[in-house]
Amino acid sequence: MSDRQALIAQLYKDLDAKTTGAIRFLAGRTSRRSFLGRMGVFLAGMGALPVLPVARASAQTPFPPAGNAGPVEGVADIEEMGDPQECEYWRYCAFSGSLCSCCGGSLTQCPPGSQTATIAWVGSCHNPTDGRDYLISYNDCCGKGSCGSGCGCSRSEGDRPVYFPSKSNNVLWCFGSTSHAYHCTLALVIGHADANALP
Amino acid sequence: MLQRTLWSLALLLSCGAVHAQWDTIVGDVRTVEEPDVRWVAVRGGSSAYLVDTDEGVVKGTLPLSRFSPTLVSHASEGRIYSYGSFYSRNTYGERTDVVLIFDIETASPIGEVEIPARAAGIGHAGMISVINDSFVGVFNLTPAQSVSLVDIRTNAFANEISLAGCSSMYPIAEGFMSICGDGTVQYIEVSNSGQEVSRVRSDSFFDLTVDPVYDYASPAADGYMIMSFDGYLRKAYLDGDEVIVTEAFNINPENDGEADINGVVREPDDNWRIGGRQPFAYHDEGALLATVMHQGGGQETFEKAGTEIWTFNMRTGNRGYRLKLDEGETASAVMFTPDAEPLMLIQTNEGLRVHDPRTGRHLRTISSVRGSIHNLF
Repeated sequence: MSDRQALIAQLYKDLDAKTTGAIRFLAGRTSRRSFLGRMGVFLAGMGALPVLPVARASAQTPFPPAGNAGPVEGVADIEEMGDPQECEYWRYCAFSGSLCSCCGGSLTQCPPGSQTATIAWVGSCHNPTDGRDYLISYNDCCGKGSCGSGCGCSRSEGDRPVYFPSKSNNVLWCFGSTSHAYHCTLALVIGHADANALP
Repeated sequence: MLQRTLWSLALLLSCGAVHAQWDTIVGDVRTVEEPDVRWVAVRGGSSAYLVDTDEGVVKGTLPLSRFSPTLVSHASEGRIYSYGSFYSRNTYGERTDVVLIFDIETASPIGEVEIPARAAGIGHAGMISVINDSFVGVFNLTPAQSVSLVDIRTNAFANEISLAGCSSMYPIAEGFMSICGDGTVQYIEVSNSGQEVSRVRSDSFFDLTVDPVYDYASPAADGYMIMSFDGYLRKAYLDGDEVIVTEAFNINPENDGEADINGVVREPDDNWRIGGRQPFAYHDEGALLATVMHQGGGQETFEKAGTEIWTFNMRTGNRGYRLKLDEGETASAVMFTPDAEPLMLIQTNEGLRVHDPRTGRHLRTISSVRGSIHNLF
């Protein structure tokens, strides 16, 4: 036996002696019933371990939820915030014109007596509330005069000249209406900006 | 002697009677005097104003329709053309679209030619043009793009030419140029009867998704100047059967951060952008370029009114000065008169400003007119 092996054997022998001594010491001072009771308290306490920080991260729902809330199949599924009567509202990123909510209409409905243009220009807007991008159709409402002062909004993100008409808000977009007197503009969400990348 | 005295007295009284005459109760109507190269038309709302920028006064007013976004002058023939839509009940009812013909001398409509109800409601000079001195072209958008041609020799609708993927008409040679979404300039030659003879496109020189160009262009001696959203100026011209587009001139050169001869480091101006409805003007003979500039924003601000006018000497390619407008004043358009010693006209929310382009000195403001600026010559 080498010196190293002799040293290890001596260590084990000393450890056995110490452990045996400790158990004899404990047995001399505790009854079997009290030992089992204390062991039960110890085991019950182990159940509290998952509330410690390391365990909580894997066992509970993240807050706030990471990423998007769920699939969006239509407008009703969109989590959104903001005032549609303010130009800063997210759907108006490529808007230029008058807000229909100023003169009896809404975000999606033309004011009474006006006509919705059937052809529109489009923009891609980012909804900050759900972190997604959507395709917005800006349909003019036509057949009446000005919607009124103070209703104007022009952000024009992604706007292009007339040689690329589908992205140009410089055009009088009253096509399909019997009159091309411009009244105001809607902002309709018609789909995901990138259908392949989103649920 | 007494008789002579009485005759003299009667003569004096009659002279006095002439001077004491009242204005006629029905007034009188003036005519417009002969316009010159420093006259412009300023179109705003449903009117266009004929303005003598030398005198700083309005000389006459043309009544347009509420759907007349632009006009073109044919001053050599004493005519101005516009187009418009008229509804039988103001904004509704039966619609009639016409090219309007105005006589400059009387500032009155003297005729009209009915055209298909397709004209685009877009307010800049490229939407109507006089082509080959024989036709007025009107840009259509339905949103398919085309051009309606009216023969101004016979005052009759002549033809419609497809302009798919392109917009604007800038007359040159025997036809007109247009700017196209594939990054090219297109030239269409028009026959004496208004038919398309040929069409040709330049090489592609811009990317629509990266740095598109305005569909507004400024005339040069042998072509048209075209500006990109990021401030790159090019000239498009014809060379035989080819459309050529030059290399670009950058109005926002890189700031090298070096101090000048006095040790002063110039303030960086890289965050200034061109913008406006008529965002730049070019004068070939005077080698002048003026741009409407605003601070900050991205390409979406390409129509934003500016707070400064930058004027460049195009012989050296250097900016001569930055003209700062008054507090709260913004410019939407800039134009040079076409004479050899031009004036620089700036349309702001305060009116039409007239400047000396060499010094930038403010000469006068015609505060009664606002709108797009159109040279008569």
